[in-house]
This record gives sequence, C-alpha cells and structure tokens, in this order.
Amino acid sequence: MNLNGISDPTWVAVISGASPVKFEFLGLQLLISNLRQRIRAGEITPAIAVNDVKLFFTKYSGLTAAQNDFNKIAKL
Amino acid sequence: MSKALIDINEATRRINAGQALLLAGEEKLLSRLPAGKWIGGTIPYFMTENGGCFCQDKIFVTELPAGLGISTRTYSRSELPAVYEETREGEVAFIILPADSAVHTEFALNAPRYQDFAQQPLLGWIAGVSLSELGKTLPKVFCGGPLPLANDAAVLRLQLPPNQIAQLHIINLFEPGPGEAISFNHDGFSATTVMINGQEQNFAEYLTQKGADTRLPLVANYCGAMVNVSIKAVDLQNRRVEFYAPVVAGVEYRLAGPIGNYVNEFEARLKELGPNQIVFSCNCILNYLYSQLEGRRTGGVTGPITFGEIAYQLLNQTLVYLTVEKTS
Repeated sequence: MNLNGISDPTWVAVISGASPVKFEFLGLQLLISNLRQRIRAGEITPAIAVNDVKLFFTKYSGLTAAQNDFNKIAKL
Repeated sequence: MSKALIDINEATRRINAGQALLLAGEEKLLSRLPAGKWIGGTIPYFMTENGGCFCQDKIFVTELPAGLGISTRTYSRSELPAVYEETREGEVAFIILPADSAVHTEFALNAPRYQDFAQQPLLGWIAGVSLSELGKTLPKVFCGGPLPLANDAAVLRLQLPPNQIAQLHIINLFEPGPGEAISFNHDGFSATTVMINGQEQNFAEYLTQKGADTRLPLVANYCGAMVNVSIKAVDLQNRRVEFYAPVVAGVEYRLAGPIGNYVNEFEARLKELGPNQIVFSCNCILNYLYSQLEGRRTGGVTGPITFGEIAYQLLNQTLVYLTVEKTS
C-alpha cells in the first residue's frame, strides 16, 4: 500500500462521503463513519481523521479486505 | 479449538491445563472456577451445535489457540478509554462488560472516541442474566479467577503469530425499511424529541401512532455496515423511548424492515462466508427471543447469547464473529 500515493483531498473526500466508496472491511466502515460524525460535530479536524485512516491501513495492510478497500480509494 | 457447553469439572480441568478460555455461564458456576487464563461473563442462554438453549448447569467455553501470548486485566470506568491504545500490534482483545453497569454505559457512549479506536481488533459481549432475574440479579464478569465483578470490564488479549491477522465480522439481517428518516439531536440511551423526515416530533408518540413493531431495531448505514439500535421500551406516559444501545446525534436511522425467517435468512448469509474458520462468535438475546432460536440451529455457529455485542463498538441484534487469516 502506497499511502502517500493518495492525496489528502482524496482522503478527505472519502471520509466526508463526498466520494462514496463501498467498503467491505467492517473496521474501516465503522472507523470512517465515526470519524465523519466527529468532523460534523466539530470534535476533530479532517486532518486528524486522515491520519487515523492512514494509520488504520498501516495496521491492517496484511489483510485482504483492507487491501481491497485501499485499492478502491486509490482508483478514485 | 473448540466451542461447546461443558460441565464445571471439565471447565476446571481445561483451566488447570493452562488453556486460554472465554467462558459464559451462571455466576454460581463461574465463581467456582480456579484462577487461570480465562475471562467470563454471566448468561444462561447459548447457541450450541444442537441449537439455541437455556442452561443453568453448564458453561459455554470458547477455547482459544494454544501456545500464544495471553494477558488478562480488568478495566474500571475511568481506565476503559485506554482499552484500544493499550492493545499492542498483533493482539486481538476480547472484552466482556456487565449489562447496565457504568462501564457498559461508558463504552457504549464513548468507544468510537477512544484513542486508537478500531486500530486493533476488539470484540466481545455484554454479560446478562436469566430474563426471569432481570432487575433482581446483577450481571457479572470474571477476569482470570472466580471473583465476580459487577462494575468492571474484563479484557483478555491474545497475541497472534506474526503471519496471522484477526478480522471481525458481523451478520446483521436487518436492513433499513422504506419508512421515514429518523435523526436525533443528542447521543444517548433514550430520546424524547426526534426529527422525522426533518420535522420535530415526540418519538414515543410517533412509534405508537405508527403502530411500529418495536422488535425491529433502528438501523443506520455506517459506510455499508448496518448498525442497529434496539428499542427497549416506549414510555408514552413520560413521552420517552429507551434503547439498548445509544443513538448518535446526526446519524440517519430508519426502522428496520421485517425479516421473514431468521434461521433461513441467517443460513443463506452463512453460505456467503469463505473458508475462514470462526474462532469466536456471539449472538444477541433479542435475536434469540424474537426469532425463537431456542432449539433451532444457526448453521453451526455457536457461542454465548448476549445483552449486546461488541465489534469495535457496541452493537445490537447482530451476530459478531472473529476469523484469523494468514497475512498476504
């Protein structure tokens, strides 16, 4: 996974829902939904959310479901 | 690895043999077990190979893989927010919380805000009691020994080999129905005023006027994962609706559509599963009750029946299961 191959605006669009992606990995589905709610509530900034999602992909890079979801984002 | 209902002597033998276990059963049984590598929670309902059952004289055991690093510890309410960040790389954390306790409320309301939320796999269940004992007996958890705990969470961490990785899954048969969009102004286990298709209305009155089947949960779409909030009570006198899990402000919910036959639909979903072996699973007491699972098998998926399921966060009316895959 080349995390830096995806621009920050793309990450933000995915997290905000502006670029809808059909994810398959439960952990990612819940993480992004919760980050989206926290951004809307003003609890965190989009930049913090992007860091959390990047960290998530780092942790789960060995999992097929995470790789599949990452590839969907990379194709945006 | 095995998952089965066993008697207390066999559970004792397995603990003394050093096996790492997740246990579920009555307090009178769990409080007689020796110290060892186990955590447990009270409940007398189970899904077994022979179907759903109510059993007060046996313990449901989930045996975890042998030869791996195991640690157990309790978390108080104030300690619980660190549960994710204290789970190390390569570990999977199992957690059991007593229903209606301060730690249950804390986790339900705040887990998605915990430091490192979802960065490690965390799953488990809410311990309960026989429905005939509701309000009379407190649910308890156990952490590495026979001391019952009513106010703490029990956590067992399993260190997986470097070439393995845990993945959490859910099977939720409920889908949002065709009805109105429902949203809430505040997070919480109860609600009075809600927005129905953007119009403010009292939720208890709305459900009553609609003749809603309150066995069906509210469902929200979390990026493709359907997350339920089950309805506990509609209190028309106080114009309030209570839930088994918190609703979240700003999230759009809909009442779930009806399910035809839980077992048939469940088995159809199981066929979608790959060859991964299920290490642990648990299912909700409301599915057990409303879908009349007693005596009925759910495709060989076995485990404790719960007062709430945990896959990263608290869930309702959902089957949670864990698989372990080889890293690719």
